[in-house]
Amino acid sequence: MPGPAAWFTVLVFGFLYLPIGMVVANSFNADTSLIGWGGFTFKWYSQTLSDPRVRADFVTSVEVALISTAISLVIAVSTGLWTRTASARARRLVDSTTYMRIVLPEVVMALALFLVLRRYRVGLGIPTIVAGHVVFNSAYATLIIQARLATMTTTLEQAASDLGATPWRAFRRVTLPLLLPAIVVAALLITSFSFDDVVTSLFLGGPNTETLPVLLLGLIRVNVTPEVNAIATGVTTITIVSFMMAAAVMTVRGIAGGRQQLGPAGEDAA
Amino acid sequence: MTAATAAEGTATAVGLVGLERSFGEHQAVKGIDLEIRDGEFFSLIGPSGCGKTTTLRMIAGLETPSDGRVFVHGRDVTPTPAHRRPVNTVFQHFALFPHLTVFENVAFGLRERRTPKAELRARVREMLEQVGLTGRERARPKELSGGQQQRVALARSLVLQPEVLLLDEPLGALDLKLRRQMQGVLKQLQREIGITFVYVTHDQEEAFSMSDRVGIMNAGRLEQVGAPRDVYHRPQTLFVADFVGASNQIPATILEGASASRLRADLGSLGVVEVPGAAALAPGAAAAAILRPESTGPIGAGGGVSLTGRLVDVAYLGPQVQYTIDAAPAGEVIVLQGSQADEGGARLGEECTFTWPAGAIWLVPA
Repeated sequence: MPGPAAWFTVLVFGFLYLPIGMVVANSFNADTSLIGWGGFTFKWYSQTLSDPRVRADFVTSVEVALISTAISLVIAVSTGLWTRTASARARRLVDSTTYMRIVLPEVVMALALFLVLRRYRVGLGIPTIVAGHVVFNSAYATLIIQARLATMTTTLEQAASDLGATPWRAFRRVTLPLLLPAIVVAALLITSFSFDDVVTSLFLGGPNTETLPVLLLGLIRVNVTPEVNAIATGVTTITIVSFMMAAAVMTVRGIAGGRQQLGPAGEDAA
Repeated sequence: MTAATAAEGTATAVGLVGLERSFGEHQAVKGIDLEIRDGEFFSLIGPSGCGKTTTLRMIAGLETPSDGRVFVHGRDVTPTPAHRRPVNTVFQHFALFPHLTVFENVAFGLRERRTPKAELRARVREMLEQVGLTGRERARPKELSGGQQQRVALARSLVLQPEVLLLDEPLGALDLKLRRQMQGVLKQLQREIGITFVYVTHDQEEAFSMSDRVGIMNAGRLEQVGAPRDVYHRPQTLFVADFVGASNQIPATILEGASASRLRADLGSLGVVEVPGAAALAPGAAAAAILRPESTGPIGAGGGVSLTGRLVDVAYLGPQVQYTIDAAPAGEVIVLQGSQADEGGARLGEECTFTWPAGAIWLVPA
């Protein structure tokens, strides 16, 4: 017999997931008014997919996510490698800026960036949204990369250099492969953060650039149409898949990172 | 100095001139001059923190000297980065690449040199055969035993045919039995390929059993360099005498010390002896007489020392028995004698006397 704690758990889960379930269900609901169940349909999806505005915003979202992820990873890896050899004081200073980017309210950072950009008359668009996303995404990625680097000593790079590898080659052949699982996890995580971000994208997108979540926000102000449910379901699916891939990589981390598995048979591409 | 003398006599593989290294306030290496001969097995030994590993890393190029020069076969490599030096290192904890197979670990350096594929494969295979790892090419380092990992580390360096192989406590992570076995493997490999080995260890016995010559370091300085037998029987300083083997030290005062081969010294209650020593010493100088625990014997015509004291401890070590006697005022003295199947005569608390012939006594400045 389930006790009160179990019932409470059910209640909480219901509160959390029922609305999302409703959105998903309604995205297949043929009833336009969404009051009752009018039968199963893919109509809203086909309508959404053929809507030029939705398609344009989807492309914008993907562009912003990919570019901001790439830039964030470069910043994160460089910061991580640098902090290994930095003095304790310099390291504390840089670490605190990393934490600050996560702790500070997003709306404050977006607003601050918006004011600075306006002050210098920088046109808003994809580059400014990317810049805004990089601010927090690079911080999350840095934490993940640093956690991995903390488990690696510099001895392996020294061994590589002792065996004739230049600093760049040592990075390419030793550091990067060992860091790869962490890089993949960070990439998937921050891609999803970027993909479902509203606040920064809204402030820094300007009048002519909008991402999918920003479009959603605009649409529900007027009227919750069935397409809104279809778009929301789409965004949710992409985010969840990305998150699940990150989790999967984390669990197989031990196996991952294996590159160049060349044997003596010599079927190498080098 | 290094390059000049290299031309005459045996060639010098590694030359260190006035080598120094400081870490902030701490001076880890305080000026080392050393010539390591071509083809020799040379060991740097000393207690931990004496600067031996730092010295090795400066030869490898992994550490930059604060002052001084490093020569390899007469060439000044001081400004050369590690990846362009003709030396390779076997690291203390192997430092194998965990994401690469045994084959790729060994091939690592050859790929950096853009060795043609066929040659690379042949050389890696040959090397793996030499260290007895044929058939394990596709294994990852973590699938190997400690001894096997050790051999991969060795193969990875040797396949590059370095002019000098540097080994930083390479057997430190292995258990005693494997250590002994690997010592044999190392010595044999070195003899076969004829490459100069520079070996760092804190284990005096290990160094003695493998090396042609050893250098003993203490607090950043090289105290003595020589063949193991020389260093053991003719230590130049009290520290060396102490480090290379348990020794009994009797305080002495020099009476006559014009020649190092014949010093007259007053050993207090033990009388006056005429024995060789490390250096010529002025009369009145403080010295210490070294009495090796295993060098007891009858006093002959040459004189010697006789010590009487109460037996306070008997330790059976297998091949030898260690007796500790309290010979006040000289203090506790240790004596090692070959062990026999039946128990010896001496019992705890009994008075016993041990003698050292003059030839077994050695004087060092205190």
